[in-house]
Amino acid sequence: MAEQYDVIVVGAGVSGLTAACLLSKQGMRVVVLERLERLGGCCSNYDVRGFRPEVGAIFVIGHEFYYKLFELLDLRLEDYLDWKVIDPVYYVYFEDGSAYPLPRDIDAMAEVVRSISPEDVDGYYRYCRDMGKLFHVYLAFLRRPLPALQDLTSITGLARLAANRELIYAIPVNLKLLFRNMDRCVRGYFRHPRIQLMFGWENLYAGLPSHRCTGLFTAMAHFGRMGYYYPRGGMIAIPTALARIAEGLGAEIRLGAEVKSLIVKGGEARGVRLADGTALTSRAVISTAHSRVTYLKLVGEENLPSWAVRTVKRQPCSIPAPLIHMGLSRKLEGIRAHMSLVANPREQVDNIWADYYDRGLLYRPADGAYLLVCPTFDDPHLAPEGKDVLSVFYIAPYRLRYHDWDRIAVDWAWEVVRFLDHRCLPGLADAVEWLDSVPPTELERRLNVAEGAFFGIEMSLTNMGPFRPNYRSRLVPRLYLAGQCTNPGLGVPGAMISGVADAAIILNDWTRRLG
Amino acid sequence: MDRSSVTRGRAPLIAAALAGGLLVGFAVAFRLEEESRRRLRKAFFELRELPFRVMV
Ligand SMILES: Cc1cc2nc3c(=O)[nH]c(=O)nc-3n(C[C@H](O)[C@H](O)[C@H](O)COP(=O)(O)OP(=O)(O)OC[C@H]3O[C@@H](n4cnc5c(N)ncnc54)[C@H](O)[C@@H]3O)c2cc1C
Repeated sequence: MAEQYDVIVVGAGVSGLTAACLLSKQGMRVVVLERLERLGGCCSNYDVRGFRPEVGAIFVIGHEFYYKLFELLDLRLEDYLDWKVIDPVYYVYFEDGSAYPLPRDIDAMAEVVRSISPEDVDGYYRYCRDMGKLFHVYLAFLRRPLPALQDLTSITGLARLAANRELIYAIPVNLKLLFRNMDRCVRGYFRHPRIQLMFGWENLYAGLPSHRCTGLFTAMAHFGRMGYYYPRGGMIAIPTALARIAEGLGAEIRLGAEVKSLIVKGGEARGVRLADGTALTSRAVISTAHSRVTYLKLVGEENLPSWAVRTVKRQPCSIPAPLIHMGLSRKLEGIRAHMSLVANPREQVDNIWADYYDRGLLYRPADGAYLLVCPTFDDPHLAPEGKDVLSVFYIAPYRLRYHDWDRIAVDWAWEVVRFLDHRCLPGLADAVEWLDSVPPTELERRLNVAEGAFFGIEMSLTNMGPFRPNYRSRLVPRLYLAGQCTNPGLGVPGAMISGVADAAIILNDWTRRLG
Repeated sequence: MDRSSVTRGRAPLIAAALAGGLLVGFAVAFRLEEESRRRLRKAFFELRELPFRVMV
């Protein structure tokens, strides 16, 4: 019997939709199955009485990559997405109540550095020069025309894309960052602890204290200055644009369609079974769910060798990204930027890991570090008129040693709100019209992401490159994995790259293996 | 003297060195603070998992 589809894509996140666009463009019959009633997975917005906070991703780093993707689709990005650059990049609130904007402009930022520590200005310009070399490698890569989709997986195609003169100039900086931890790198440029904090807190994204985090994260502050972008309409605008393109190219997208299991015949993935019992057949399946969900639930432990079950179970998840979302009845004067960092001295931020996180403990709100995100700062349409949306990211373990997240989540959220009210946002507690506390366990339930992990699987050397789950499954032929658990990881553009890679690999396999 | 008897002659020495190394290793690990011990355990665990991860 002929299969109903060429490719079934599990999940309408950015990775699944990217693969769907590219494969549909090649004339394949593609269906995307999404368990939620909403597009985008972790890159999306939800709606409560007109307040539309981000579910997960809050900004895009490396937005230039999107232009490349649209090049592959022969489309103009401007017709689908409207970017706004985030400026100031952050507002930083220190423990003594002082606050500083971190502007994008290099010289304006130098003035901020000068106002805190004049002796660090030279180090700042040295930092910009060094990180600029890395940024130029990235820009040079973007200037190259992309090869055809099917050539993207060939070694020569990739080498041609990567080879550029800027790469050679950046080797010394690259080596320095690669072989030093972030703490050492930051100290190499800056002396004043506050300046060190301004340029050295992005290790929180890696989920590691700065002395255990690779120095490469030092570049992130500079990349932010080169541009963190935000799409008009919120992060959901990205998957919405991709879905529109995929449907225009003939793909089918079904929301509210949960895949219960893969149909495995003769050891190969030959389709899926939905929660309502419907069976859909295909020549290949792409799963963008977390690798633990894909292998342990969808494929099923019974279809895998025991060593593989063990390995998938044991591969560590990245840190979770617990959140508190709020709808505010009025605009607060204290909110002065799209994103703000509320932090204690740098050593104290680093100690959160050893003192609390690794031991499964929750700290007093005053001992934490918080990233505040106000999307309505750049797009007022994400809340009813005159009101604001505010989300708070914090660091906390998936499992608490002495508490149950489900019991304490709301009380804890209010403690944090009262702390922020006292520390930097007077009037916040009174302005909260609606509050949604999303601890890691709840994030896991809502997004079907194991442990509510920020980047799927840990972003450490032993969980990257060949040690991350393969695009083409080595365990189940005709099954392909994409998304944040695969390479390169690290957020929305990374997930989209995995979608491109899967499409390229399937296209090549089509002629050689899948038949 | 053939090569195997040379090796046999040195066997007690090698065994003593290994045992000594093991003892020193234990002693060092025992004196490590909790954080370093946790990191060491994690490093060994990760090392053991690597070949399996490549196959998934
Ligand atoms: C809280 C948080 C904040 C983040 N912030 C940023 C940021 O600021 N910038 C950034 O670049 N990245 C950020 N990230 C990471 C980024 O959001 C993700 O890497 C990216 O969105 C992952 O896309 P994906 O397609 O791989 O997976 P997902 O977005 O997880 O998509 C997978 C989809 O599959 C669906 N699914 C799962 N199981 C099934 C099933 N059985 N049947 C049908 N459908 C199923 C899910 O519902 C989901 O829609 C953040 C992540 C989180 C969690």
